[in-house]
Amino acid sequence: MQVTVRFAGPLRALAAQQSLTISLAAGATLRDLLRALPDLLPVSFAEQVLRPLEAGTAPLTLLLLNSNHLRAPADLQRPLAEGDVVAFVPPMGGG
Amino acid sequence: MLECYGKKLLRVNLTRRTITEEPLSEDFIRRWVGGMGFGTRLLTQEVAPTADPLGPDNKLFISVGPLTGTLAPLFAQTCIVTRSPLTGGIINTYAGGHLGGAIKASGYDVIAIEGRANGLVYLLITPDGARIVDCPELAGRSARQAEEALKMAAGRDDLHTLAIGLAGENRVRYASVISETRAFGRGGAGAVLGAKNLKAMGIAGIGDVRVADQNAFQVAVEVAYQTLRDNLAQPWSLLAGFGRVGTGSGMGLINEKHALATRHHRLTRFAQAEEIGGQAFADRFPTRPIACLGCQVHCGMLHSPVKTPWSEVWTRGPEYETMYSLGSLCCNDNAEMLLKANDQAEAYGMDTLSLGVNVAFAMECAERGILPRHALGDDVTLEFGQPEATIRLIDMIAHRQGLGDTLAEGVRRAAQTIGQGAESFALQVKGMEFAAWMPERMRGIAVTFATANRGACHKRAPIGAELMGFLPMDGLEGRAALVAQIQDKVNAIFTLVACRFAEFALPLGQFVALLNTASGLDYTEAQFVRLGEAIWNLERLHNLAAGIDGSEDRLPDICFTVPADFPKDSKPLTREDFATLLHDYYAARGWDALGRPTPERLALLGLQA
Amino acid sequence: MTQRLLVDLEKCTECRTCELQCSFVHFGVFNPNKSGVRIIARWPELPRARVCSQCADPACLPACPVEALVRTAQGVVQVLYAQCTGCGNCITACPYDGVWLDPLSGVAVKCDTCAGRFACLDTCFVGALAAGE
Repeated sequence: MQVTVRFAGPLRALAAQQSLTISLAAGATLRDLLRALPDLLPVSFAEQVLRPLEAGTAPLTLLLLNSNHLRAPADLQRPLAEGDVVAFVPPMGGG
Repeated sequence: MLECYGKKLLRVNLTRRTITEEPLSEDFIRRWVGGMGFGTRLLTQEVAPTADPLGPDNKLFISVGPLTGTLAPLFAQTCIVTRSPLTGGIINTYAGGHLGGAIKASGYDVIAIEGRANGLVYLLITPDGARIVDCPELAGRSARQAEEALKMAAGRDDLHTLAIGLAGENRVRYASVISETRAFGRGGAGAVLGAKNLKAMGIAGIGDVRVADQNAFQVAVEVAYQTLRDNLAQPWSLLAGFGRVGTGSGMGLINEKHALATRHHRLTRFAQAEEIGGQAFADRFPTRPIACLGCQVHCGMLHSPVKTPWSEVWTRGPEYETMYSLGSLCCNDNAEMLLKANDQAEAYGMDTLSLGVNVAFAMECAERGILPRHALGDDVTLEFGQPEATIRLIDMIAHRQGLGDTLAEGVRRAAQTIGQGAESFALQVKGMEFAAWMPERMRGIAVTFATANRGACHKRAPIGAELMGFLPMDGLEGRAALVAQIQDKVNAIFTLVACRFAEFALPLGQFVALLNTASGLDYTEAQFVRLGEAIWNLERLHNLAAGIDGSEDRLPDICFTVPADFPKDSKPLTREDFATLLHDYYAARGWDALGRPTPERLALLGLQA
Repeated sequence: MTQRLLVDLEKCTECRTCELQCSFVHFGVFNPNKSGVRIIARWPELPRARVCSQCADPACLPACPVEALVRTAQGVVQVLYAQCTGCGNCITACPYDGVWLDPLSGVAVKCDTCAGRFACLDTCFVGALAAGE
């Protein structure tokens, strides 16, 4: 299935692109997506965003799924669907 | 006791050309604290709710607060309260910068402007005295030119100023009052001054600003500083983002949340949003941050010089709200155009929010065929995403030429004039054009746009919590009550006079500690918020008597039309939702079913009906 | 060599917190005229900073008719407020605009480095202030 990934604000410079489309196996989860992305993005993005997200040391608010924030780390296990949009956004604290 | 106050009001009567000082009583100061408190109490006492906002009986109160001109961080704002020519109700509007410090140093807590001069004048207040000066030569000049003329005339570099531009002189209903690199934007205070023939004010003072308890105040300041340091050091700190690229730092996030109104609310996301976000301006144009007095956030981005296809400009901004109103709302993705438009708005003195909404409204009307596509001239098409149309229309509005004259009245009146169903999509509540947020998308915004005393106002909403998903954007439970609490709390901090962003960093207890140690007063947190609620109810009573009743607590039909790209996992606002929210809101406020404060609630707040 | 206050105009955001801190630390009030450092905006250009250079051979000292200006062992030039008559001679003599009159109290005001403590540095979050030569 095809999933669109977008990068917003400072995440764009980190990803060195605005968006990409990725093919994933049916039933793939958000966690699977995080693991598939390092091959397509600069090393710094994996270091600063992807790995800390997986490890739980970066705020979940870095991610949007179909424009919604995730509610809990367990949401990373949610299976994606065809046409879903995952966005990496600045997780602005305080306001 | 009350050492941080001047305890004086300067009353300027432009009709009689008299300037007098009046004392402010200890009771008054204790009860209303400053800023929005002083202005609202004075206006509701001295000006009839039916007074023509553009007539000589309207008054305009410029107030500072107990923390103005002190080390308390993020308290540089000055408050203007007056009757709005846009809404017909009471308006409060704020500007940062350095004006407030100069007012405080002059020894005045409030400057009251009343009557109407018989020719264009400016007001000069210096240690040598206060005087009203005829200035026919300043007619039609930009706000900046008027301010520079005043500084030259006064010959002092400690003079700070405010001024109106052509839009204020032409009584454009959303004309703003410019103060150096800042603006009292919303509600048409510039038109009020224009109608009074007051072009500008310059003020300089040499007084000491004191606090009641130096040691305790110093401690409270240090606590606030540490809180700010910690906040700014957080990775992804919102305030740090503001300090790097301005208030447009969140553009990417807001856009991906599908919360960025685009193409006159037909869409929730703008494909080119990041080309007009804060980072884009910082990347592409010379940028340096400038701050208001005593502020460590420095969110003001000064861009100079900037070459645009129309002229070379220097400008401070644009704010995020402008990136919406003249950007995504109009489908404009052109950063140079936004800088030129921002400069026009500064020069003419117009609220960029109302201005952009009026421009987008015209584009929407043209798209629907109810305004001609060549209403601006044969050489430019009035359509979305047309920079030339935007720039041309801004000139026409300021000059009140052609279609500009209709739009200078604001979208509510323009829609009435244009007819053909335009009232169903005019983006306004109580006559005030929308701010940069979507009621269709965010329930807190739906409540506050519909109920705010100054019309569609975003300053009193749980924006951060809804945007970051801490509260579901489409949730109803407790939302109205939360909005009422925020409205009260923001009112309270606007007495001090805090910047809205102070509340993003400092907990309520620190505001109260700073107030009490500076003034010698002994407010509790509960009493302080209750003060905010009292001010809210004073405004509400004034508006009710002006004929703005509960039937105006509503959103235009367009808010119940679902945008084509509304996110599939979220619920759009329905009329039932809104009815629930409004019912909950009145209940939370202790008002009756028609939105009127009950005698019981007023008694609780120490107010009379 | 004598340490003096240095202002990096390219980092300065013109918040003028340094002015508020200085007058508060020295006089217990907030008043830019009582601050030993002044930041003057000149939009759109960079601001101008006025602050004493702590000259090795100060022009202000001999200009004072009542010996209200002294140079400490650390080389810092100080105003003796009790003696200052506010005549303004030092202000005229200074080639750097580094001293000014507080019109309210009638005395000359200038940076005294807070006896080497430079209290303003802590309040500048952007690091535009430094003690140097």
